[in-house]
Amino acid sequence: MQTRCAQTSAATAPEPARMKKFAVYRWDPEKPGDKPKMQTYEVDLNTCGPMVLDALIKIKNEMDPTLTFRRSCREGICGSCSMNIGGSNTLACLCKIDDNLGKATKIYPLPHMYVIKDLVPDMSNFYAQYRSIEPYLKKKDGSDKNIGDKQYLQTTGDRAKLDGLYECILCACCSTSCPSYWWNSDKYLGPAVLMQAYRWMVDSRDDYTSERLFQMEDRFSVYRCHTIMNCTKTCPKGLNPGLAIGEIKKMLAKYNSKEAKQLAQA
Amino acid sequence: MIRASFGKGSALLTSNAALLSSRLQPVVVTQLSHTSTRSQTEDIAYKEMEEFWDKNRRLNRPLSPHLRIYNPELTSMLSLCHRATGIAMAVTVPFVAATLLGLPGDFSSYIEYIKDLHLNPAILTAAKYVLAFPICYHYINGIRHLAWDWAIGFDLKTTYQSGYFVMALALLVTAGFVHLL
Repeated sequence: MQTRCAQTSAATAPEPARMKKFAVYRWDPEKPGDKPKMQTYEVDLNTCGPMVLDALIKIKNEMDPTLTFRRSCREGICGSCSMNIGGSNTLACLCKIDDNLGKATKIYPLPHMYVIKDLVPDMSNFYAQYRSIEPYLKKKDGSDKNIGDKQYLQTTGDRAKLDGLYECILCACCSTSCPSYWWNSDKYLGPAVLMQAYRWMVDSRDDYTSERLFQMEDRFSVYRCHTIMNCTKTCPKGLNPGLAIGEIKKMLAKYNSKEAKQLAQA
Repeated sequence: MIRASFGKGSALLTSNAALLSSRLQPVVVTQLSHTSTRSQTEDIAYKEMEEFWDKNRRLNRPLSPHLRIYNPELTSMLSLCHRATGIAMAVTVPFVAATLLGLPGDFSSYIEYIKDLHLNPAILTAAKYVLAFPICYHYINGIRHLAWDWAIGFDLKTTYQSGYFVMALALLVTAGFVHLL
């Protein structure tokens, strides 16, 4: 009886607050003449979840409702909360808050992107580039009537080629970590889109591999990649876009481009 | 001029970046080689891209910070070193060769001249390091790049290990050149 009382009294004793500073990039398009600036918030880590997204939501709920950011699944699968935390691009819902109370955690939007508000970048260019590689199965058997009648069979070996490629959630962390994409985001496709292009090139069920490769035959779409490898370093899902781009370059060197040109223009 | 102030001293950098990007005229359509065979999906995509640039320029949105805030990683720093040493050599070697061609006397007389200056040996050693490092680093990292061209060694662990190895070996060979030759 006495030990039980001692235990419950120990549990209700208040813990000293662990205050952590978050320096967050702010910009409001509705305020005329507003300039981007950093705003610092202090959060008690004892009453906050472990991830940076928990802290952002706590700030928005309790301190500043105007703080704007994208979020959805809170489990690292939707790709909405991608931002630059502590200098690296990652998902806020998967990034543990650094316990060091002496340092402020700096939160910026994804680098070199047009800012819509606070931590929300304009992703339209990224999505348009993804659309441009035609990220869907393309077959050559002609007739549209038979789609869905039969399964497209694939060996386990061919299916294994897609591992490490299909898991991409298009969060854009890798593309916006690439200095080459910073300087050429209009013409260079970027690691995320190129990895998905490779995913379709290497899918045994797709018949348009040569044409997909031929689409990359120019100075900018693939060849602005200088193997800086920031993309693989920053991917929050542990994928390797750098390798995919290396494989595309190898395929571009080996495939028959004249034949592909004729096929494409047929 | 688009100005975005983040703190002391960074306004100029950001404003220049914003100015450059606002002057960007993306010529997406005409640069690609297969414009005659574009599908409907691609047409929609390129139209969306042009609308993106038009809209963002019109709204004068700020560009999020990049160089200023991004963590220097081993990957990007080694790549920067490769580019910097490459440019340094591409500029200085032809320049020095052309200058020596034009100037009177031959190479050994200039070495004599430097010897006669009686400089502090530490300065001479430092200068030798500065001259020897670019060729050593660029050459050894070049081999790493060749491996990448064959899609060898792309996983993150190997990239980091080979990166540390290349830097260590380059410094070692540089020291070898300076002290043993």
